[in-house]
Amino acid sequence: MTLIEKDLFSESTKKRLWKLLWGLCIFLLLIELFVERHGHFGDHSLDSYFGFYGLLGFISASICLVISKVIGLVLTVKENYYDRDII
Amino acid sequence: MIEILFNSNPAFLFFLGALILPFAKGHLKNIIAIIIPAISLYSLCKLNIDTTSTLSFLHYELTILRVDTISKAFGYIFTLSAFAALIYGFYQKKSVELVSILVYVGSALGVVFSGDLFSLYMFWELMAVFSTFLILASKTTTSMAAAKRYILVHIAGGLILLAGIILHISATNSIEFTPFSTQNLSTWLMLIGFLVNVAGIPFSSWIPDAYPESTILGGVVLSAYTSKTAVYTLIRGFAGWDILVLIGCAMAVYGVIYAFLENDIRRILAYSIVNQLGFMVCAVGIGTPLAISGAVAHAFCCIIYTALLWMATGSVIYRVGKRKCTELGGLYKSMPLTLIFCLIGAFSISSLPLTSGFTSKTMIIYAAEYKHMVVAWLILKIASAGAIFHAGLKLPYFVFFNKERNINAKEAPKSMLIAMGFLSVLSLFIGMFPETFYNILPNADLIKKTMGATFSDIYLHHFASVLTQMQLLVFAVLVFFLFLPRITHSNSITLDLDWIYRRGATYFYKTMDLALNSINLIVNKAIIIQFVPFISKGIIAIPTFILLLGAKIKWLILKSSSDTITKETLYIHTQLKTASFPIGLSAILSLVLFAFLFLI
Repeated sequence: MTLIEKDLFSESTKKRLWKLLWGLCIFLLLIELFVERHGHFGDHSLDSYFGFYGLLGFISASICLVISKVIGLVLTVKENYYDRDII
Repeated sequence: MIEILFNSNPAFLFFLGALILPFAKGHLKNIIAIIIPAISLYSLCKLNIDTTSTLSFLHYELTILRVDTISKAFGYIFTLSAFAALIYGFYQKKSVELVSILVYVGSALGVVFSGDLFSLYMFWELMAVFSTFLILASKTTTSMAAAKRYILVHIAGGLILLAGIILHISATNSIEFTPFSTQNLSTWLMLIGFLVNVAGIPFSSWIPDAYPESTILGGVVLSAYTSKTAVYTLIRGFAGWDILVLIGCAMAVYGVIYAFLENDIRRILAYSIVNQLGFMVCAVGIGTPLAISGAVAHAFCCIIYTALLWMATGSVIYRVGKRKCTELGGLYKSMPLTLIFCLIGAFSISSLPLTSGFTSKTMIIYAAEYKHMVVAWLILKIASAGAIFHAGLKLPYFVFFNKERNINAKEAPKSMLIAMGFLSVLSLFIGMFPETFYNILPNADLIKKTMGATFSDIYLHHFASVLTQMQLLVFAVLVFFLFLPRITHSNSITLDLDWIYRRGATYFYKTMDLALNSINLIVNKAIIIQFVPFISKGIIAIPTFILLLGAKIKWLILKSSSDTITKETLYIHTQLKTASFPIGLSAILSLVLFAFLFLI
């Protein structure tokens, strides 16, 4: 709760939150070393390799972001687009 | 009478409630509205599996009640969610909204418990009509227009469905609603009718168009029924149809991408519904017993957390009156409880372990995996990582954190907090202790065997899948915060498929207008203005020409003087003008013409 009560917008809090996030990422990858895991599509399928899901999360999130940015460039119109009369 | 009410389709109880409600005063209205789903839930628990009740109509036997595990699971969640939504709407004093909700929810239950296509269609249309009032009740110009488009889309979808039903009945002579195995025109028409309601691509844009314009309570209710009822009908009729895998995957990705571009928090949620529906449609397409259970489970859980998110955003709109990312922010101090509930909803929609989303989405992904659908599996994983982006992070971040905008807002009213609390607890309960939940799903034993039923089974014995899910999500979170400075919002909208009927149709009309009317104009000019007068002039001139020709020959033979020629020419012209030729002459000319024609 102390985190909430303090101002979340201060630089020091932001830095701490960043550290927390990076820490969590590394921590989750480290745990994987101690967990026995099998590939879902056979023993040597791609998803059985170390860090596959972290990478998948990172890449797929990036892909979604990039695609939405590109679509945004092409298809974004003003808010009152449909209110205007045409011709 | 009461016996009939409880042992028949639960819809009728809701309709009865809707009839009584307008006569009540004050909060008694709300209490009646809350009690109806509660009674219905209770009577549903008492209904035995495989109960049916029929009714004669014309020369058909209508199965107005058919109870099995699938319909019962949908019945439970529909009544539960109506119960929560109506507690949430305790502030609402107007009968219109409450009555519409009761009839709407009642008809959704009606569809789910109908065993034949006739009753299904009737409840289906009732649902479309009464849901429209929830959008109209906003009473803004935008909502009126949105409601008009909403009802038109649903009427079109309903008519396609009706056409399919009629063709099906005339071909098979049966009105029973059973799985459709053959692909023909009738089943395809029915599939399209259902796809319109499930917001399947390319009919997906009505959700983000209409739902955000509904009232605060309307949004909470709308998010749950129309599309999930359609998921139910797909499960019943079209399980295992391959095309649904394709449509489902497309919907899941489409929802993520569009939600990310949105500035309006309710439109973000509308797109996230499409994203979630994608998972269900895909599961129906996979069609294995596990996938079907997954689709039912996901519909169940999705109703809980989507309603929760709509409630949280509804509370923000209720207190602040704004709904754009660019206008909101920093509300974590003034609305902490709403934030907590919103986060639980957000975590659930992102299928974070310990929440209901994890329980149900994992089932669908397992089903794809067991059927070795690698591409579908991968797309669902990508969409799953993408889902944390919009509803999971973007929504709470831009509403409650982002920038301090010094908005003076109070915490949401108690009734809203109670409803959100109830759904939050339900979501976490299903996430942590899913055994009770599994028991109400179809193929319960199979699910328990595959997924693990107890807390330790899921979170300790299957720790690898929990870990991989956490990795997937946390790395997606990392991407979100890395790119955060680049995520900007402006007062803009992104063109969607509704462009086709909102703008495209107008353009089509204008183009047709321009093209056809120009052809009309050209033809008019060429034929009416130029050709016809030319012909008529010609026809008038021909007799003169012939007469003058004859006269000329005569003058040549007789070698007439120029005086005679002028005199006779003048005479012919005057005679023609006044049409006063001697009758004999005309008769001779006619005879000549006949002779000429005869010889030819």
